[in-house]
Amino acid sequence: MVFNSDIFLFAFFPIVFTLFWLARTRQVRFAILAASGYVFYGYWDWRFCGLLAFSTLTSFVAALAIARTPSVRTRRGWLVASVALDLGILGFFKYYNFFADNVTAVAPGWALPALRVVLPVGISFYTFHTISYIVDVAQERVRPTRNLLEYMAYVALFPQLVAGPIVRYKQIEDDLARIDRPLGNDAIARGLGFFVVGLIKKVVIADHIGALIDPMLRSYDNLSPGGAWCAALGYTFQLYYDFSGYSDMAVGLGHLFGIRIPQNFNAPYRAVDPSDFWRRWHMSLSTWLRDYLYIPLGGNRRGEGRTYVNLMITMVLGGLWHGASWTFVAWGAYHGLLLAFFRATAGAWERFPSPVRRAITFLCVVVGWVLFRSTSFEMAGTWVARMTGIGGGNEFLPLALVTWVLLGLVAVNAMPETWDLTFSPRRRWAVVYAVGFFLAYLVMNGHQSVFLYYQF
Amino acid sequence: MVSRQPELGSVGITLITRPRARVGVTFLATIAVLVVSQVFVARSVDPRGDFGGRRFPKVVYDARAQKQALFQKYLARGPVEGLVLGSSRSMKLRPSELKEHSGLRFFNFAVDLGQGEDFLAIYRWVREQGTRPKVVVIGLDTEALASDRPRHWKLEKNRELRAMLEPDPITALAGMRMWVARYKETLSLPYVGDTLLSLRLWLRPHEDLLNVAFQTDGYLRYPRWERERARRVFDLDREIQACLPGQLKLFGGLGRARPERVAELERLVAAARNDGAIVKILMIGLHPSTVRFLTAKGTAVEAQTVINRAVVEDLKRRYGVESYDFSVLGPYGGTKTGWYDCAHVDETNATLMTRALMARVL
Repeated sequence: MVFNSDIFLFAFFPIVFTLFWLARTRQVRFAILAASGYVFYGYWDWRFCGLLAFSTLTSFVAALAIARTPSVRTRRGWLVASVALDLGILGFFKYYNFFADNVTAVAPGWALPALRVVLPVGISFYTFHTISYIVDVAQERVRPTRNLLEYMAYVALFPQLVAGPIVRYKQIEDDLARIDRPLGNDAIARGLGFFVVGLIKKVVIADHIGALIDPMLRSYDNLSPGGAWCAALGYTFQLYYDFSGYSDMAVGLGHLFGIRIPQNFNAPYRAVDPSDFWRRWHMSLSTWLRDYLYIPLGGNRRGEGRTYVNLMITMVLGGLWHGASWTFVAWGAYHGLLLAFFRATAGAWERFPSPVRRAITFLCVVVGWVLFRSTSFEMAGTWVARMTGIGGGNEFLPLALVTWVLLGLVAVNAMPETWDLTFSPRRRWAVVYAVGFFLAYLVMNGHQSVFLYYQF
Repeated sequence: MVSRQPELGSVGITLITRPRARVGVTFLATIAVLVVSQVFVARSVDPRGDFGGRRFPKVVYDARAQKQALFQKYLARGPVEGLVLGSSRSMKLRPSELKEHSGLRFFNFAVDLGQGEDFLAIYRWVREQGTRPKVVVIGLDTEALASDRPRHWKLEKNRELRAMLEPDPITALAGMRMWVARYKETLSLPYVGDTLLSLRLWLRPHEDLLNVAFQTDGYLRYPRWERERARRVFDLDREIQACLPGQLKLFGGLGRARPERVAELERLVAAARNDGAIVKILMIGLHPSTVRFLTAKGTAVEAQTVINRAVVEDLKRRYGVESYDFSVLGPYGGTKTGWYDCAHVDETNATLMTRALMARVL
């Protein structure tokens, strides 16, 4: 189920919302949130609800065991076992075929059996939820909940279940503790405002750009230099508006259930260096990687050389998290190199005027998205070659795409982020939200599309 | 509206419990007003002829209703001796060219997404108008007998044509869903655009604003594409690419012929033959690249063509109909460039088709 579908907007959400606010006690509200998460998830494929439940239960039990055990060694054992189990499930479902294919290609004698493994939607996200919870409990950053329903509601919280943001338990712990409070006008206004802005970003901007560049990229070999640049820039904006739109909708839905989901984007294309970019793009993932991978690896505390190695490991694994493909690995490595280069040349870099640094960073990010969007190195190579004028084709370049790209350039540089807006609870603003929703629905009606990050 | 929201975790959500639902109620009430207004305007203007409105011009064609009106006018000016049935892919068969070859006065009654039941209903309706065609040409699309679709809702809402057919159990079950879908469709940007276009045409009639237009003999014209061709900006590749997703949707569930649909085609053939008419069935194909695309996507487009051939061969054997396999270009000498998009031939291919169709002595 996706947020921009009739079944969600006119059946699932109204029912869950009504039941939730009719319920008075915390337990019933947790139960409704948990159950709705499973329905939301099961609508895609009910068989994988079991996997979600298993992951939830094992991490719940492991966290309690960690909290109860005074022995450091036993705690570590629980932690390692639980994280390994989560990663094992993720690894099997997401990477088995990739691994098997590569083993077969490199050493045919060692060929692994090909399995028809279906990638469960959202597994990358909820696995990170449970891992962060266990690690936080083990490091005593959070006290484990003894309330299974509350924990199930946290893991299966439908606004963020399948495509994030990656919410840590401690970030919404207070809201969960006060889940039985009444709904306020401010929360409704924020909920509606965020949701409508996100919906507009998705169905009005991202989907229209996607519809223009997808046919071009199907015949990428035929891209003209201008077409290749427009496709790269178009995808740059499509991905941003798609994913940040989804995140805004998730935040809005969270508010409508009294839960404040954290910010996931902060004007990323205004970043002045690669490091700044990662502080602004998919913030919940980058901070997760920082806190649960980069810092445990030693971060920048073990010398300059090791810092670079840690950066590369973190970014390569971050790339691989997006999908079982060498292009994602290469994209991660590319950003690792950018971060390393920036770190090595930070002093000189700072001397450039801010607009120059911003433009260069943006350019580097756009090139990175070419790798990210490409389904093979051959495609990425051809696309980049066309961008540099090598072997240009004569692909038809839609004027509409040029317009969107120009508008996108202006918007990402001049428009406020959704989080910079205050959504007033006044009646006249409610009318504005309604008009926004209505217009977005006019655009999306009959053209349902999924979010790009559902595939990760 | 611009100011920063409180940082997470610093300030709790401000609870304004009275009046609690103020924003939500206003939001829902506004949505309700907007929806009702849009549905009311769309229903009143009725730009696509979905609700039987007659006051404003139709901008998206409902060939069934439009051609009924055209037919009655055409019949008033002289006898109709030949009838073309089929889908939009047969609409370019030009009655004047058919007359050149046969000497008979034809009317093109091909309708959008025409299927077996449409042909039967139209033939019966034409007969009820007091005319008896000497030649009936049936343009059979690859998917015209397929099992996955109910009757077209434009047929279902057309009382006169619907009355020509027996009730359809599948459609009866789907009726409510179609009713909802019809109203839901009014809440879309293209529908709003069509409503505005209809109002504009009402204020200042202008054919150039339309994508399609029918001549008095039922022949289809594509004003926009014709204009683009005249200005030499028409791009067939672009049109083919734009049209492929729709065809994929159309062919997605194909696999076998629906017995009721085949039976309705047979009833039509039997009735026409019984009336003494020559029946010519031509299997109309798609652009070769469309067939390649649909085959690559795993649809049963080829299998359905084979099924249609078998059905037509059976009718040929039992009723003596003439059959023409134009599902590929060769038999009529068509070209890959003689198309307007991935499924519709242009005047060049249509003329070649007509010539091949009428080559046989009547």
